[in-house]
Amino acid sequence: MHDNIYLILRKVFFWFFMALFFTLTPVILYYSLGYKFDTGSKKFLKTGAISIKTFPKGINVYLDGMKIKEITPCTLRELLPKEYTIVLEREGFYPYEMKVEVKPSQIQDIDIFIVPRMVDITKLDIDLHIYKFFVTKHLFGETIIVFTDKGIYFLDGDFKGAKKVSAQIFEESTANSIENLKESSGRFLFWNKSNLWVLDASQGKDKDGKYPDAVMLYKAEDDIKDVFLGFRGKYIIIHDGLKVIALDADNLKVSFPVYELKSVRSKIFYDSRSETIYIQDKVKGAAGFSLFRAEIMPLINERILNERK
Amino acid sequence: MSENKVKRILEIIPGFLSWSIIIFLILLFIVKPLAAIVVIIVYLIYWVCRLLYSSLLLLMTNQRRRSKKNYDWLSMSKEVKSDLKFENIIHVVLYTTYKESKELIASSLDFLKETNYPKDKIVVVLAGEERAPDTHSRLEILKNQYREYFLDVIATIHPKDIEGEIPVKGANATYSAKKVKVYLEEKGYDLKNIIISCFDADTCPDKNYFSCLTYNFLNNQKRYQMSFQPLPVYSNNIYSAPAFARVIEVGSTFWQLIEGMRYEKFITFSSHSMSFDTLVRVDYWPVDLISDDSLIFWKCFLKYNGDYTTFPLDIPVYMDIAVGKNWLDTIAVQYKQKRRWAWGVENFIFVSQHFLNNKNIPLFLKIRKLYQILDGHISWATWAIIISFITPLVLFSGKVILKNSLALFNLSYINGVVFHSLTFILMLCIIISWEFTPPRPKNVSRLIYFSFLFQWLLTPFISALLGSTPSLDAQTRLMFGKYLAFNTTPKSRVQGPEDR
Repeated sequence: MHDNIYLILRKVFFWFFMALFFTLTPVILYYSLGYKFDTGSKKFLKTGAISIKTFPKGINVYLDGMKIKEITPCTLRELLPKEYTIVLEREGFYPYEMKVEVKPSQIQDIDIFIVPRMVDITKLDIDLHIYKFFVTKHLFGETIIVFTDKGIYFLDGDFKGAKKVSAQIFEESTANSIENLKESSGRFLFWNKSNLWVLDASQGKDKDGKYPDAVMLYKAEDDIKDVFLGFRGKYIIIHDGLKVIALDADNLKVSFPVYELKSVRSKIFYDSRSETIYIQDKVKGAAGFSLFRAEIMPLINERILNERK
Repeated sequence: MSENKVKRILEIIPGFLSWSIIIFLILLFIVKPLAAIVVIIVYLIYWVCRLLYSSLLLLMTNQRRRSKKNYDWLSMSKEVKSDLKFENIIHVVLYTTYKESKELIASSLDFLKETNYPKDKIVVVLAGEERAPDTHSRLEILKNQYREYFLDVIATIHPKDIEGEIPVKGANATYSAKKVKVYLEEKGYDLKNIIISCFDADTCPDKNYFSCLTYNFLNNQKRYQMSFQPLPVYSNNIYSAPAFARVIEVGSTFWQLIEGMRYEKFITFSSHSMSFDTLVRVDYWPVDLISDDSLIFWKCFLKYNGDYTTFPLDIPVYMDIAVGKNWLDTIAVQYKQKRRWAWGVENFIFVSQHFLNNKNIPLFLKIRKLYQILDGHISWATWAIIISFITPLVLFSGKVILKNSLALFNLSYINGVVFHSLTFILMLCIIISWEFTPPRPKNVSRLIYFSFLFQWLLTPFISALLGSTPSLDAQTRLMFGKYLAFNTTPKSRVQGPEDR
């Protein structure tokens, strides 16, 4: 291309962009300030806008009953100042209706959560009469432990992989009285006010094809208030009435009190990471409660070793 | 009014205008936020139009450069019909040096040696400064080392503390050119046949540079009313310079490419060439001003009453990217270099003062030229501040002040359009910048190309940091009469001509 052509082209581009600037600027400015040319009245009218954001996105928008082309998020522009009815609708969600007042040169922001209809309810497809269930979390998800009229079952979080782990059938009233369930290395501890059971589900069926039964580990003297697993599940600490009792999980015969509480309203918490027991208990002669801490594991270890000898 | 008073008023004008624009926008936003939004919207539309126009110019000028890439300039210059003869043309290549190492200057001379123009038509001038240590011995060694390759090598030492001068490159170049004039006259050369190229110590011309320059000099009837401007490509040390310094200097090259298409605005920058006869007629480069490269154009423009232009050569000269000892120092070096370039705003004072005394230049042309200078410098000092600071400030604080304003909502939309335009231009820059990247030296890993690609992500930060502040700094100093001292850019290089 000859140099002169570049010169001419440059001039053409210069005037093009100059014209573009002077044409675009008033149009964009008028538009930005909300003006709209009404061909009917041949007048500039001041308009407003509505900005709609939803969670989730992609919801259909109806403005005064008319479906608009865009889906959320979107901005409805050039709206004459008045009150509008906006309906947000999509299959699978509850419709949302609202009144919005549009003011000249202003934008009304709408940011709402659209509620989904509960259509994805899945029923457990095994014919079981469920008495009680507990959910335990582990590294790969959740396991649901279900006490049923046909035994104890394990389910995955999505109801897949239902597995019978015990044929033992608890009565409905007993199953319902179970207050909590804790898991350690495939062993499940569960208790009500009177009893503490353990179910070792790690072994599966025995060689005769029998499922393991839950073993009653402890019978309460008073009321079982809480149960904790100590030293990687080797010891069980039970809060029974005014007593704190330690149990050797490997030798169920060995149990002994480790602490005597002063009040039935006292509480304990056992931190398995630091092997420390925290006790909210009364002090002799004082009206209120105080907080104590004790590293009781050396004591339990010593006692259990002595018992084993 | 006394000349000094006029000068002071002129010195205040650019800084005053730039600060007025910035302060006006901030005050307007405080007093009338909606009006400020309107002004910013207009500015952003203007900016997008200007950006897209500049991108087209960049594409055009790059296409023009590529179309001439394979020309046999030497044959063309020998065959061109002209009232001057090719055989009589002598090139004076003047290297202004200060503290640059002997090796760096030698590397530039090696490049010169590799050009395809007959070396017996090239006189090399090494212009040293008495202020710098070992100048005499350094230049003498180089002179003796390279004398055999060229028609002659002359070394001149510019004495320090000459009355009426300030320590600037122009003073050194002028002193040296005066010595060369004596030399040329003694040898019996006609100054009308001499082309002088004033190079920085790190300037390495393309092998076709002198052939192309000679062709255009011979081919142009108005050769004595014309400067010849090569394309400065900052790539000598591209493989060792920090990423952000590369982005800045590629930006400088692109800016020169764009300017090269705006013939009527185009003025000399950094290394340039011109008729020696014209240089003598205009009394050489200014010796008491920093921006000698652009001021020489204005001196000629005034001498020829406005009938003087700069011709874009579309042939590159390769220069060093300004780097420091570490990346923080590089930021400082880059900042100081850009501030020195921005000190070119002194052109406005120089030109205005001379326009007042010149009755031969048409008034319209005077106004147009002054507008061009002011527009360039004021845009430079304000654009990044408006785009990177004032617009986000208005957008963020506007959400509180003008909660439901439709104009504010649209401003954020238009701001988005600006950034999309910037992305488009960045893509263009990435593509074109590959053409200016020299071959990778063997000791540099291929992985550096990832850095070359991702370096462009730094553009928004560089724009915010170094886009306008050096220029605003220069204008503010000038406004308060705190004149800038000439600050030489440190030169370091890892790549020589053999690597290219």
